[in-house]
Amino acid sequence: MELNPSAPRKPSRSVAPVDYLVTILDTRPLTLHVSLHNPVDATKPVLVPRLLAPLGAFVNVTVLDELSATAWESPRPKLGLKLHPDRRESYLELEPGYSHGIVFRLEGVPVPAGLCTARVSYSNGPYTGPTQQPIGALTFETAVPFVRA
Amino acid sequence: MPAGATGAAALLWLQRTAGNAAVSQLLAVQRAGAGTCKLDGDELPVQRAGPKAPPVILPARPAWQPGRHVTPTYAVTRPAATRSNSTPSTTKTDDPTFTGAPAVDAKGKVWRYQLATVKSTGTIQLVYYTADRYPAPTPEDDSGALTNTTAGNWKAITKDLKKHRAGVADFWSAYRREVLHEDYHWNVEWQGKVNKHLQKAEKRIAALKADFAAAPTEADADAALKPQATTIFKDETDKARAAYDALGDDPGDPPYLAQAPAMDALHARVMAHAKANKWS
Repeated sequence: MELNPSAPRKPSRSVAPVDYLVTILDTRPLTLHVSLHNPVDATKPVLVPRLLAPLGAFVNVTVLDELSATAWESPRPKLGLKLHPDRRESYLELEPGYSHGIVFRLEGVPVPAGLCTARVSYSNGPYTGPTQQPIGALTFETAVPFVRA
Repeated sequence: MPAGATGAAALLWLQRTAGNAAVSQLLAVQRAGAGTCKLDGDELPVQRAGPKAPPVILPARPAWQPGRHVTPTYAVTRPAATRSNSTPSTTKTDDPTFTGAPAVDAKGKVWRYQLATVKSTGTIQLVYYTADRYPAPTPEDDSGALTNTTAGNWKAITKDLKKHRAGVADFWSAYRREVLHEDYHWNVEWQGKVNKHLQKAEKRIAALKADFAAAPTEADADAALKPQATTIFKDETDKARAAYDALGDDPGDPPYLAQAPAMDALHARVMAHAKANKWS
């Protein structure tokens, strides 16, 4: 495959019917499972980026208190990529019903007591698909309420 | 003034008429001068001018230094490098902090807020590829023996290093690439944005003031000025972060260009090594 590592990667519309799932596994410390999945009733496999970490690079989390004020926001690190966005090996193929996810355990994050909300967003950044098989921009955001005792 | 009144009688009359401040001034004049005080008619300017404002007493605190700039300190933590063929190296930056205190602006006769220090911390986590991806696998600075370089692969190595000098490595890479790339984020991008917005913060903070009547003590001045300084500082550092976050970090962008010298140097080493071994 011919790569053009210096070419700018412009966002494009998503052509991959990918669904997203966020689950709060624990609140002390706050632990979330974030995954991309190919719907059960899909008719064909989809490609999704292999890379989901570090937190803040592709998945961002904002913790809101009961007054919807921001209690914590994941920092955004700068990255020196290892996986080339144009290469097929930088993506996983998901058959219908399969998912690709990651668990983030937010140690030391000041989560207030009471009703909170985890606002979770995902963006695939430069991983818009291999040259021969573009998947476009994947973005989503959801808010998951939870109670911290 | 009653006709014929002089000396103490005149002063008593004046005190009743013009008040203690005027009399105090008059007495001062009298003590400083030689001879008797003239109290005739129009020679009493203090009586016409009325009482003066009390003199401003400057608090005995450090003087404000207008135009003084803080040189921020930058401290980056560098944990031991790890290895992975997928996990990226990262540069994380913490929100800058400051110290400061109220200072006396003698000319303006107000309290100002003087920044004393500004500190910014961060973490650079280098992640190297596995050792088989480097022409010189040890030590982790591309200076070691080219033990992964052979007559059979040197062309592939040099092709990779040249083609991806300012991008994501394909297979072969240079250790120093990771260092230069992340250092660029920290030294050039982050510090550049913080320094720029710190200057703006200093200018805005220098305009803050609290008068001595409203803030008689340093603690009062601190209570009045520090929250405002904190708000300004946060506003400007938030802007610095937004500008930093907006900088491009895709292949071909400045951080990737910054890594190119490492790839070029290793490319030259491998070429020289092949030539010395008469590989073709």
